[in-house]
Amino acid sequence: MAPVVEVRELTKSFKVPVRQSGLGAAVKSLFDRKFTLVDAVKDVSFNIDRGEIVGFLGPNGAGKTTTLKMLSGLLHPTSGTATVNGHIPWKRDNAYLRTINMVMGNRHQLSWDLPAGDTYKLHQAIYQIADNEFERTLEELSDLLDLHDLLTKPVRTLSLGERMKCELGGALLHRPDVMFLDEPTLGLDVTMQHRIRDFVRSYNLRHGSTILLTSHYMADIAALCERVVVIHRGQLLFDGPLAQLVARFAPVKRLTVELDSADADLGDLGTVVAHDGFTYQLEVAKEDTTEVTSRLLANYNLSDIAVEDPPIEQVIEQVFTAE
Amino acid sequence: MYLARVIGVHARIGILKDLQYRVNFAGQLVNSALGFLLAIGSILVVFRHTDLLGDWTQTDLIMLIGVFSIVRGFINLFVRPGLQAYMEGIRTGLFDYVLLKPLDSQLYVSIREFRIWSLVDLLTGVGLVVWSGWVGGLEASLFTIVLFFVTMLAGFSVVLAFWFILGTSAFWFIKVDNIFVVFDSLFQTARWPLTVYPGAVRILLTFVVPVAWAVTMPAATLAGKLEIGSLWLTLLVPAFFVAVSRIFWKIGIRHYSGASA
Repeated sequence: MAPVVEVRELTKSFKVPVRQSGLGAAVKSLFDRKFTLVDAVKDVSFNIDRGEIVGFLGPNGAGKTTTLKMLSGLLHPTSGTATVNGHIPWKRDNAYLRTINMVMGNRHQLSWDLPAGDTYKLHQAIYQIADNEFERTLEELSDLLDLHDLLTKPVRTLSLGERMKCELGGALLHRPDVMFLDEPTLGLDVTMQHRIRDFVRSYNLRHGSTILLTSHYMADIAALCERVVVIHRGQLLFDGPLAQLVARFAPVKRLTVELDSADADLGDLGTVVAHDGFTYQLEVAKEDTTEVTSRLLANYNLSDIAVEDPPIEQVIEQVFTAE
Repeated sequence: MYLARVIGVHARIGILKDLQYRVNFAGQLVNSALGFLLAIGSILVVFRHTDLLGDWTQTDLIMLIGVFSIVRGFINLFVRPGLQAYMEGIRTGLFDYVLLKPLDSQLYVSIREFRIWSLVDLLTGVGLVVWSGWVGGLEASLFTIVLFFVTMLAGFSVVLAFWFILGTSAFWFIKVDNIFVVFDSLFQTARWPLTVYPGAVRILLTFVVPVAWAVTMPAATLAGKLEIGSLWLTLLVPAFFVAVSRIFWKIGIRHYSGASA
């Protein structure tokens, strides 16, 4: 089966005005503007199959959103090619736009003064959704997202989380089979993040839609995406299963041990990262794990031991801070 | 059919929104009344000193003010709010959502916003045209009436295209709100018939800033002053401006860089 998304050497550079701070420089730049070219995305290539949920990871300004925006047809790339559903996204054929949608956590499109249900009617007209189909989809989305009471209240009276649920509902009315979600859980509390996550997963299972997701919250990615694409400074750093990312970039293992003594000195075995009563957490170079474990067993009275990968946030942080 | 439905739904939403802010209706009434009095007042002042302005009588000019008011209503009904929302969208990044919709983005921007109270201007204009025609004993043939609607349509297209040409610069300059002020100043030239201006200015007001042209043509048609020889302009001028605005728009979208996340 051909991939839904095919990206080859996609590059986008932006012309960014540069000037010193201060009034003098501001006045000068009115007449003589200087620009530098910044590569927001550079030679990025990947494929995505139908029904996959792929997470895009990277620090602020890494190029995740720029990549998503090119794939959804909002931006023209500087060079490179991409097809989504067999279309070149930035040609923005109506036939293409009818099969996709994008939701941005920091931008809301529902009309502030009106209930979401009214704005949904606009989407129905624009996407030419037949009445019975519209009702059916709305019913399904309302059940999945628990929208029933929200659709009749003016959007301005909703909480941030409720608004996001309505945004998602509106974006899916035409049943797009490729969805771009840019930070969909931005600013939401943990419970609401959960709800959104659950929804994305069950929607994906139900309709087999392909979902490309960016998020700052590692928990989103860990819960939803089997596959991650790591972008750093516009370049693709890693593309594969989440577990492999940890194996590849984490040089250490984390050992949690419970001893019969509260003041044991484990410093010569590895780095003690936490110590609470009888419980110690050690970070040990991956290749030393077996040896350290056997030394612990031989020399101490252990009541428990666990060997784990370090928390994924930490791994990611190391990837991004490493030069 | 599709387009009619999309426009209909947007107009409905616009009305729903405007009904939430009824004070705007009163504001619009006062605004229209002031504009009306000012326009009629200035005509009365001029005609204290003369009976003819070029070959335009006082009633002809009142008819022109009627058309001026119709065009102003048309602009405020959806051209200005649409372009305003678009410029705001460029700055905030909400324009992304316009580009995501499966219909022509330029078309969508022009029909997306709707300010129902601006109908006051439009209806005042229609009233003035009818009244001045009645007072002036106008006997319009069917041909003249058809021609009036054709020139009116040409005027609307030209004005819409001209707004787009001005507005598209937002793709490059991001914040261009001053353009509205510029337009309002230029639009004042349309209070007087094109023929009162000297030749060079007349050409400027037809081919560069076509607002006076857009208002004069329909009024001249009803007043029986339209030279059949200049009829080709009715097709050419709108075609030219619409084409230029399309090209600008297409180039602009390629330059759209979005507001950063």
